[in-house]
Amino acid sequence: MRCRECNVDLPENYTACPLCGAKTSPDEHKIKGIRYSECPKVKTEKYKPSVFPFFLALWAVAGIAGLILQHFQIIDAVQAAFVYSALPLLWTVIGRRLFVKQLHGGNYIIMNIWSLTFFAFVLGKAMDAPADGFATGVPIAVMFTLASLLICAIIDKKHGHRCTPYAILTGAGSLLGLVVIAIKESMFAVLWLGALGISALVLVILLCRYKERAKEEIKAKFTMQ
Amino acid sequence: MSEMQRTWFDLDNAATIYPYSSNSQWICGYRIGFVLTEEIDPEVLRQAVRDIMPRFPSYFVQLRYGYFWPYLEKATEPPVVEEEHLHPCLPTPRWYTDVPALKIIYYKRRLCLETFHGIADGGATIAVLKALTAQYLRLKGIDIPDSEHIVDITEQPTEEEVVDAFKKVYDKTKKGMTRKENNSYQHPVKPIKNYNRLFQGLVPVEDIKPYCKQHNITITEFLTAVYIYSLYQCAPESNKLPIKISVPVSLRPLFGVNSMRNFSLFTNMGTTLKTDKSSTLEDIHKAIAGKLKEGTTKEVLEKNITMNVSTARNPVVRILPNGVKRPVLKLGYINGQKKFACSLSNLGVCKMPPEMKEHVDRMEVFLGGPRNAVGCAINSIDDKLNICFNVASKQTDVVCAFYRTLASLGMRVRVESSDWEGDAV
Repeated sequence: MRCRECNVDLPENYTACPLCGAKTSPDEHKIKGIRYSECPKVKTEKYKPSVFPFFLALWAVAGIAGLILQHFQIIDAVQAAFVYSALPLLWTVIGRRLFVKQLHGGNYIIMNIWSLTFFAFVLGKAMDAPADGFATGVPIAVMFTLASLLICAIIDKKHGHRCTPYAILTGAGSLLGLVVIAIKESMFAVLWLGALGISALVLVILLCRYKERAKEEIKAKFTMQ
Repeated sequence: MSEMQRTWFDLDNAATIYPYSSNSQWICGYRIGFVLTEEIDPEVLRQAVRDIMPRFPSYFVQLRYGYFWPYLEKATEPPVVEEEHLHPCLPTPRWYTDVPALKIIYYKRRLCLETFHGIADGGATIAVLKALTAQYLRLKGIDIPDSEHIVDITEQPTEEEVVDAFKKVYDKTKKGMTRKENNSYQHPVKPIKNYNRLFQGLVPVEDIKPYCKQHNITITEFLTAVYIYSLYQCAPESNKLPIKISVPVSLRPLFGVNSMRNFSLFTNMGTTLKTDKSSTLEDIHKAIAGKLKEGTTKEVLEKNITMNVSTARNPVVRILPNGVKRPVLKLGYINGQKKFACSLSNLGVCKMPPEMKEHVDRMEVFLGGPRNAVGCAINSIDDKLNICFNVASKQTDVVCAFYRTLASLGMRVRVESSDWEGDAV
């Protein structure tokens, strides 16, 4: 087939010219001996944009609003609300970039540093004067639930079973923390230290087990080219 | 510890921009493939992929993000070898971070590599494709002898192949060049999400050569002129901006480096044309004749390399976290895209031993470039030039004008398209 409008050869099975849309005509090809290279019939899938950026933006706006309200001293708890709101934003900008599917030790170090920084920020004043049980317990629970989910996710799929004891330890630790804080607020500091101890133990185990890979990954994660 | 011993690679200098400019709709990749004379056997193909993997360690990698820069981690999962079922050069989340950033796709007689541009450029990927095809044919029982044109997969990869060649040739005593350049006309293309349409135009080389000889220009300059002319025909009369095409140039022959990563630079060629649409094709190729040669002298390229490498080595740039770097580099990339309308990549003649050539019908190259532009790639095997376009929309104005211009000069053109029935979205 040929397109007389475009003056080009076309494969035999074309009924319309792909360039101009004109009907093809059964004229003789000018170039002989070319075999048609067929392409599959592909349906264009509807594009589904991610909703995550929308919620992130909403959450960040809520956090900024909380900061403004806290500035005008409307209510103290708003300061905590700001931190909770800033948390996913910081996670996306900083923490998520460090998320790796495999290896373990290097990523866990980063997660630990990040989560400890958050604890310090949230509980800064609370170290001297214990904060409200709910305001203290929720960040601990969220942080360790996140950590346990991360541990599950970062360990290789093939070796997924290895993540289970760590996930149970951290998940159970956060649940226990929440329950005890609800009963007795002053136990907070002890529990916090306990949770840190569990994290440190997990970290030591992982680093001993995957020493070389941890070294490699830390180098890669912090390469400055 | 040398690059070969590590489990990861730094991104080379040219590749650093690609992770930042990619998004969910565009993965900064391209497709290179052969159409063989027989249908592909997928199991034999998978075995051929496993056989060549150790020879090309810098290809079977996954993109990861460090705190300051992205990097390429050696993959532990095997690459995706699948039958073509998506529009070409579309990103898939799995491909991006879960499995190697190199996909091997087959459909009937077609065998393609879809590669993330952060791994390597087309000049290096062709070597991988030839090695894969040669191994595939050998496993099918066809004797393909060793040849200087095919990488020996029994050899060990060398350090030279996997290191950043830009850093190797970078000379800090040399002066860099300025990035100032006029903007180019931008042909509006409204991309359709999750869609990419390919066009192939086969033209006998014997039809083009006499024209080029008569006007004393190279084939690349001629096709660039035709591309500019096609854009000129489709541009509005009110356009006063120059029409420029970005042409990548391989640096390997010039610097004598055998790199299997990115080692090419782009030069923008173009001219300002009359607003009354009276400029002709001859006017254009007179204006750009010799510009490619001028823009690709060793001196100019060294200045370009100095500029790029010294920017990446700037202490402020190095210590910025990724989250901050991304929008800054993306902005720089978007600004750079305004300096040219489209890109044209000429991969030249694909050389292979005759025993292999008789089993390869043609070569296809498609640039998965910016979604709002038309990408063009040229290659040839034997005596036919294959001029391939990809468009992320149903618009065919520029592509149509291009092939019609060739036909109007008396050249024989055969056109094929991936979406010839114009299926509805």
